Amino acid sequence: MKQSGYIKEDVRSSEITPEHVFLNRRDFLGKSVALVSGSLATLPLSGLAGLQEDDEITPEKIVTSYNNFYEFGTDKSDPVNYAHEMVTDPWTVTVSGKANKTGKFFFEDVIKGIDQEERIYRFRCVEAWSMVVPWVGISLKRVLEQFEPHGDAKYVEFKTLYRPSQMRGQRSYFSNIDWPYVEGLRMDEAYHPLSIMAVGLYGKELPNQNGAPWRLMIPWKYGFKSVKSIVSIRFSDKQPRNTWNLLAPHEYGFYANVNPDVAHPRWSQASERRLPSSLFDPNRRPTLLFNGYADEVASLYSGMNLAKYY
Amino acid sequence: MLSLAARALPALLFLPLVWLFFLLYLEYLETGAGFGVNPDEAFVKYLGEWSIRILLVAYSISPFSRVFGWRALSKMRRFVGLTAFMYVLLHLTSYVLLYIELDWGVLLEDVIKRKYVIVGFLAFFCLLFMTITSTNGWKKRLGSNWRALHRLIHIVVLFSLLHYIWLTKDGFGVIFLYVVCFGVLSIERVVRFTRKTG
Repeated sequence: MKQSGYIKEDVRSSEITPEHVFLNRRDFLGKSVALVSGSLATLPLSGLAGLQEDDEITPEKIVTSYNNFYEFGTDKSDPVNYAHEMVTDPWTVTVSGKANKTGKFFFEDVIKGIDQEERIYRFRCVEAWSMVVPWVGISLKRVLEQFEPHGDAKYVEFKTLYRPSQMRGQRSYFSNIDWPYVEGLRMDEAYHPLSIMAVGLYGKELPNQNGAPWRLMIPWKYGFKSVKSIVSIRFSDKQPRNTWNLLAPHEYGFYANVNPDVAHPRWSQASERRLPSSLFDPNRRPTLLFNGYADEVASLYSGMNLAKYY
Repeated sequence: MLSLAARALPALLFLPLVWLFFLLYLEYLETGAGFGVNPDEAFVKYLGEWSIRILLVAYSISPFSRVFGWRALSKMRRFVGLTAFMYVLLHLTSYVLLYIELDWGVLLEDVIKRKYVIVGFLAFFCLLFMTITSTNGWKKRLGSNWRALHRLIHIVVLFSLLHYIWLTKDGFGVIFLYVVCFGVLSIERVVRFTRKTG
């Protein structure tokens, strides 16, 4: 597997992933995966969105069993318990809006030929907890470019699968969410090198509860931006609405950049609990602007009032 | 049969506390074993959940004893109310220790800015007031005012429900059940009140 540069130099790939990792999901995944040992990974990359000194990779069991995926229920344990009810094969993606190549595509065809890389990112939930996750990802830019978006496509919108028969949270009478889950990015955010579509984690294919078969992963934004189990991509000249913003506009904005200085109306965002945390020895740490990726992404928002565009 | 149930009730009310200590012990043995990987949140939430449940039990005693004539039950009202206060106090303490981490600036920010915190504190102070005046001495001293004062329980339950509703993002299933309980128990009171006045 190709290692990206966004890895702390003393974290060896062998610590994270088995030596040869091939994703089993049909033949396409894994086909383009080649294990390039080290030269990139051993560069001193502290200035390049590497991990912080005390960032430790969160155990896989936690990443795959403590999830917010309201399509399967609002408890953190609902996704791991019920996401297996979702069928992800076959999987198609509908591309629409301002692009030359629109239509319905098989997921395998969309990701075919795009290099898969391991990206170890901090993951910060808007609920003030965080993890460090080794994703297997593909460049979002390369995914989107194949559809040849028009010059006036300023935004891209993503939608999660809507299938109540397999997603019990969507059948709930006690949810106010207007399904399907929808999220969006500015095109320049989507084209940023840190932006990926995750197709796996810990060198394995993505489990259903983490958004199989693919989900967005934007490491400098709160987790709810990184929409899971995507079936629709739409290019637009207008800013798309996003689910949490529709539900509570004064609490969740479009940008949702991690920012310790802009509190959520119901809790402070100044610090976070890095999981696993212990009751007797809480693993609490200060939250970093743009989740610690400010050097890479702050320029996307220069001149913007981050308290207004939260 | 009924007296047996009445005798069992106090013990039942303490089971969640016994369970809490058991989970604490598991957590002590192994991180994550008792309250999961985000234990602060789970711990505070566990106590909050049981606070509201036992408050609703306390709230249901008067209507139940009136409608079914269970006098043994009404004698336990004070005990159940005090138990509810104990859970609320533990819930508040766990919040101050685990969320606020004794940082009074943070607490002040919460109290000023967040309405679910505000109604939570209001409910707590009402219940604290009721707890202090729950003794026989205070009952005698306050005379007829005591009854009026202890009508604060309506406010306590209502604010506790608001507290829960306002801090919930989505998934209102459990809260809906509590609200239904509150509604049913209130209907009995409203019916009684209108009969008396009408």
